[in-house]
Amino acid sequence: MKPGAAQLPLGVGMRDDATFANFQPSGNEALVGALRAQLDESGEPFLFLWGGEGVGCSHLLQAACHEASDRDKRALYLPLDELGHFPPHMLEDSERLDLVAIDDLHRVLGRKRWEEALFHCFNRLRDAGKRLVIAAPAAPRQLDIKLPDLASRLTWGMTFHVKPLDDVGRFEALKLRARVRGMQLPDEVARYILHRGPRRLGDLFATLETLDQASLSAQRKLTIPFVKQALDW
Amino acid sequence: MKFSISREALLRPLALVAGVVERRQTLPVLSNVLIQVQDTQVALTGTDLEVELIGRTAPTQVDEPGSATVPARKLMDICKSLPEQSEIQFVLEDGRAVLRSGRSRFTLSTLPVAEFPNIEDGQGSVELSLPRGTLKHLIDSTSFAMAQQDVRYYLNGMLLELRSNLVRTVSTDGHRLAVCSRPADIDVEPAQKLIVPRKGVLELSRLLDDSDEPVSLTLGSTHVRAHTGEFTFTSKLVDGKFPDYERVVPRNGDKVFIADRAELRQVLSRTSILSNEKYRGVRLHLEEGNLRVMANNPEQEEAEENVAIEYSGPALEIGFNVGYLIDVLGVLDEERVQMTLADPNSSALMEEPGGGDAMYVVMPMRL
Repeated sequence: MKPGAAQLPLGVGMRDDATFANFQPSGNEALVGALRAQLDESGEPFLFLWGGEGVGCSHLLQAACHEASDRDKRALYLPLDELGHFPPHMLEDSERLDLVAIDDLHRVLGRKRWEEALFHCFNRLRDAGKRLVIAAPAAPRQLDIKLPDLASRLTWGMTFHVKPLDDVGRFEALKLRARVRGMQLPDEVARYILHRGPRRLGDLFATLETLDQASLSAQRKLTIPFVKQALDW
Repeated sequence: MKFSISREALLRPLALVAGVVERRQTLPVLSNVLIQVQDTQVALTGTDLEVELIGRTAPTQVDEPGSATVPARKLMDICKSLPEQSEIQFVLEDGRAVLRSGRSRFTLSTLPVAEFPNIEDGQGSVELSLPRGTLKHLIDSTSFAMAQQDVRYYLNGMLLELRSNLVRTVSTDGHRLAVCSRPADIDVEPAQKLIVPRKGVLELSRLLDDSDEPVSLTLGSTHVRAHTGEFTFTSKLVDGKFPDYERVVPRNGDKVFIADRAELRQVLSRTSILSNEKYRGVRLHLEEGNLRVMANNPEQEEAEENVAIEYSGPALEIGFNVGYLIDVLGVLDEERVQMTLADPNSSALMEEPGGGDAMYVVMPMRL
């Protein structure tokens, strides 16, 4: 037996999909409320979220889509970071859906076909009474939009700035994400991970996935020595 | 309180009830057993606040009904060490319990009955009844795979799934998973899924026998209660979701072999002697008609065994924690066992040839 011997874990960990249940809303309660109410009869048809990298725009958009499916509504999440390389055919017929969530809007701005397609998509969804939520790193007026009609449309709805979490919020968020996975993360270990771990929230949560697998494999509790060993810190 | 009872009538319920009592306690009264005496019945209760067990038995004579709590282990040790067929007389004198039997006399301390905690009687939403043997078979076929002290609280227990005409138990510790299902004449709509904590599962199994006599179950949102005439067992439930076991059962296995169960078990047990004590890894080398099992340890000692199997297909080498394989071979009861493999990194499925009521999934080791 070589030193690299390891028991492989079964896939019995909990899924950690982006939902409202594992989103730490500190400072963004109003926005989360508006987003969750969007599919209600009285919901706001169009929401625009903006915020820096890692504040949770993508998480919120995916959470809105998950919640829509839970309510038997049809929803589509479009990360333009990945899809922006393709022509905008995916926006056709979007009014058949109940909710369209467009992430990373800035990736396609300045491209005539995409801006026009977004403009038409906006109008069709609005005419059909369907919901739209868009996320970008900056507010609509700060974005470099070539098509003036699209630029004005994007200011029609409610705009929210997604505020980054402070240190307490980050601590709570890490504990919450661990709890949703079914893991008990002691306070001192959470503090250690926050202190030592990556600054970006997405990367921070990725370390939880590593710890989840490592603790399943080793059947060990999450202690500081175990975290050091599992993450090679 | 004053009554007398035969040693044998007291010992069986006392042993089971005392099993629930933890050695280390947060509350002193939890190391005691509650004795309640009525005209024709003596009830014994033990609890650790998570699991409560009440055992009932018949006294020889009751002079004065009443109740008291006395240290569980000491009482049991005394009763066990008395000669067979002894008659034991129990009297409460000045707040102390006095036991007399023949020429022996023991005085035990007591704690106030009012301090003895009751597991709250939650609302039972579903009631049903199963043959004791069915429930025992389901528990005993899967309980070995429960986690011991995992950080994921939901793994430290067993999923009990009850749906119309079917009962199923599932347990997993993240390395292996055991599922057992049996048809049952029950009507549960919608289906119920509860996670019974590890200790509750082990205690419940000890109460059951292989008979067709019924055990009635009351399922609540936070508790489950099982009732068998002499015993009433209550356990808190683990709050949480159990992993979807169907996601874990492998479907892609294409290398299927059949072996003699007892022979394979002996081969693995012998080989395990020279496996690494910590990881217990063994290497299985599968080839046409033969399975070679190899182990070695840090002292460079080696074991190699060959066992004839029914197999025709490509060769495969795969590592396992030998303890996990032996556990499964120990609970299956057919003469032969079937094992389905895919590749060295994918889980193995073990079951009776052609599939019985139980399925076992074991993840391999990287050796």
